[in-house]
Amino acid sequence: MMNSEEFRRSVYERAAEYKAERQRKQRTAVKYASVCVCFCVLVGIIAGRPLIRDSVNETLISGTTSPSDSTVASTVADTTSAQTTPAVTTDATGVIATTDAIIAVTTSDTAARTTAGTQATTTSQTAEEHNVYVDDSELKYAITFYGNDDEIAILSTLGSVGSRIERIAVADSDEYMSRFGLDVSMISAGYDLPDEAFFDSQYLVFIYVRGVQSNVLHDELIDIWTLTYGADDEVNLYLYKVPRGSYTTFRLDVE
Amino acid sequence: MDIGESGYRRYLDGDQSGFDDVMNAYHDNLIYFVDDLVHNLTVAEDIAADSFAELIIHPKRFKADSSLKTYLFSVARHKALDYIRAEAHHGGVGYDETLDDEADTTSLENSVIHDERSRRLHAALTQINKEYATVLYLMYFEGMDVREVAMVIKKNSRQVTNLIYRAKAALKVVLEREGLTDYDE
Repeated sequence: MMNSEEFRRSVYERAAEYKAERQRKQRTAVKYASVCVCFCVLVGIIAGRPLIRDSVNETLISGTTSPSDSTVASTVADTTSAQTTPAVTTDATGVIATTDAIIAVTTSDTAARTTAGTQATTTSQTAEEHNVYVDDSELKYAITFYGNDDEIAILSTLGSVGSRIERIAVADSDEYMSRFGLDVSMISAGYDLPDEAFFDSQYLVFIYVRGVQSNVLHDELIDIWTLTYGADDEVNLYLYKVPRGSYTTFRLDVE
Repeated sequence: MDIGESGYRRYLDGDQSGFDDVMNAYHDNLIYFVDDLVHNLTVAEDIAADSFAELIIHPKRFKADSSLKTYLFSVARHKALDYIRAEAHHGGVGYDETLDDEADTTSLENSVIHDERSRRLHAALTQINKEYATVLYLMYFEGMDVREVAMVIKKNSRQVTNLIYRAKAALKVVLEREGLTDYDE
């Protein structure tokens, strides 16, 4: 049996030992908790990336401006007006005066946006962003492109292209025909294909739209051809030249 | 407030020597109490030391609604029961079969129990049910009331009252068998 002094020392030693053990356990618990928090944050970031990307796209859309009609940008988020059919008027040159609903209506059509995005991706291999504004009901299309020496980006995908836009292709060199599978016979003989020098400062955008053309709404539109593409349906090919290093927005009005 | 509890208050206020007073006040009684449960003096010392250490490690667990002695005995009893369960679970030597160091036990007993009559009474307690013996020990040797006994053995006052009644009846039989007739009811 221990004497009083030994017993007292034993008690203090045990207390110190238990305290140290307790602190060690607390530190371990904190360590595990930190690892768990980091893991959860990481998972959250990975899971949230598509949402963040969508959010960025929405921001890009909001920032899109049209050289000829600033109302496009200002009404991107106007979902109220999206529910109404806009009165579309054109001026002498055929430019649409009201395009509010073109963008706004289509912002809610996620499924169609996906369709459009897929089409753009498969045909525009250099595009990092590909965004198309479409109002399926009115068949108004506003598309913003950005290009520079290294990349061509189609900005601000929105909207229901549906079955109307068959395909979007972007060409940044004279190899575009083979790169994008374009058939020269599709293009009318009235247009001379650009040479390599053309692509030093510009690139071409091809948009295949099913439907009868009505108004063409961009200064940089090179030509429109009605052709047979895919099935036997009639498809209009809108061909644009777009300056490199600048944002360019153009709209289609197809009936 | 006894000397042990006042010592603990001083310890909590920063006076380290206060804890020495706590140990001086309860040391023998606590070991003797635990030894009654585990029947192994070395283990009883370990458990008593752990119980005192508990006061240092978790000072906030001691509430003012009981005396320090009651709290300390309660902690020690739980640790003793844990030990007994663990020993039984691991197939260790049962507490009834362990051998105490008789000299030490006698020495300890002498420091806790001062008269021959109490010693014979304590010997009689070893022959009755463990729980009965614990209740009676706490009441008559440690001077606890029903409420304090209830706190130590984690039962309510009514249960403790019933236990005391049955314990006394059991003890009476043993005392009569031993020829002790000069006990008080």
